[in-house]
Amino acid sequence: MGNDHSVEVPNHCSMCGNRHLSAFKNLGDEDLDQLSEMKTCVSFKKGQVIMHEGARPQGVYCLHSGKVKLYKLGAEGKEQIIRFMTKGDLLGYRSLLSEETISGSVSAIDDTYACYIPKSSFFQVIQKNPKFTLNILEKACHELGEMGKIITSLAQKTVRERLAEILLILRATFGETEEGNLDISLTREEIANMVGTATESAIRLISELKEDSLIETKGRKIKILDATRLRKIANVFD
Amino acid sequence: MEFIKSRMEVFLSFPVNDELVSEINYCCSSITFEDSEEFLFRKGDSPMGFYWILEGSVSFELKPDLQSIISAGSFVGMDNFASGQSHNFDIKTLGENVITLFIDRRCYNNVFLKRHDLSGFMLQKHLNQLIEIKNSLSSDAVA
Repeated sequence: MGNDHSVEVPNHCSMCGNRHLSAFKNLGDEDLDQLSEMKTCVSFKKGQVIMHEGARPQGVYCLHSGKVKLYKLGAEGKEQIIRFMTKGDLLGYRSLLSEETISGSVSAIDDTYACYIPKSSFFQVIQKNPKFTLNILEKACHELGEMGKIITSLAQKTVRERLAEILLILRATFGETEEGNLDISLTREEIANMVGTATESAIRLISELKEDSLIETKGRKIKILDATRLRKIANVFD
Repeated sequence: MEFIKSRMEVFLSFPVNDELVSEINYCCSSITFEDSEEFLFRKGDSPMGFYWILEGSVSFELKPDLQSIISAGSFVGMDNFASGQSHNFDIKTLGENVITLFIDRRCYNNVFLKRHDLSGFMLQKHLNQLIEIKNSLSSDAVA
């Protein structure tokens, strides 16, 4: 686990401002009391690994703040970023339920605070609360759908289409700052690892999108200027 | 981090500095197995990494009635990790609250492999573990 932390995250789950975003949103007072008693609040520094592919999780993390990436390492050690997650998202639940090892590593891309819930408490809540089980099922089904999209996208789309799509996904996931930039700071390498291409290709394609006045960049900051055209390039219709 | 440091100081014969502990804490994930008989690896699992047992013991299920017990300080699953072969035994916790660190390829390459003292320690521990397993198998064969 990361570092113990008790300041940023409320001690009781009922006080958590992000509960409405999480699978725990419908829990009653009794279940929240139990979770609050058993959870541990943990902080992770930017870049720190939270969960490793191949390990057996013994609990789940509920993200309180910060951003994380889920990735798989190739034989050469190259990352394929599968998706990003942020507050309210639950890490490790699928492996826990399926009794499988973790399918992808998770590391913090910002300083991140999360609540660790041991599997005994997690399963107790599942057994007692059908609404919670349904929330988990919904989450799992949604993620399955997203994985299907990623597979299709990787198999059928060009790198330019993928890049455009990923910029739109980043905006949908993290939103924009007051200045209109994507509210996430990624290196060109991380963008390439999400697109599934070489860093050089990602840099070249980002420049092309800039030249076409679709996006604007300043260092790591990216602003989407024309989402409609970007959507057309990405072949995204929903 | 303090816990990791205190355990490393017990296991290692060389000085443990904060920088090393911080690097290990940064790239490894800490996993506590609360119950007895929890699986660290199941037969057939892919060797994506291995565990360093910081507290408690685990058992290699060599045959239905034959176990080899591995205690704290040892690395579990390293041979499969190194060879790239899937796990050929179930490996389970013996007792409650087994505290481990999970080490993957990136962490192994960036931290453990770069430190000769640490990789020497790992090799020694691993050889001891292989001897333990060999002894268990040979005593079973004699019996």
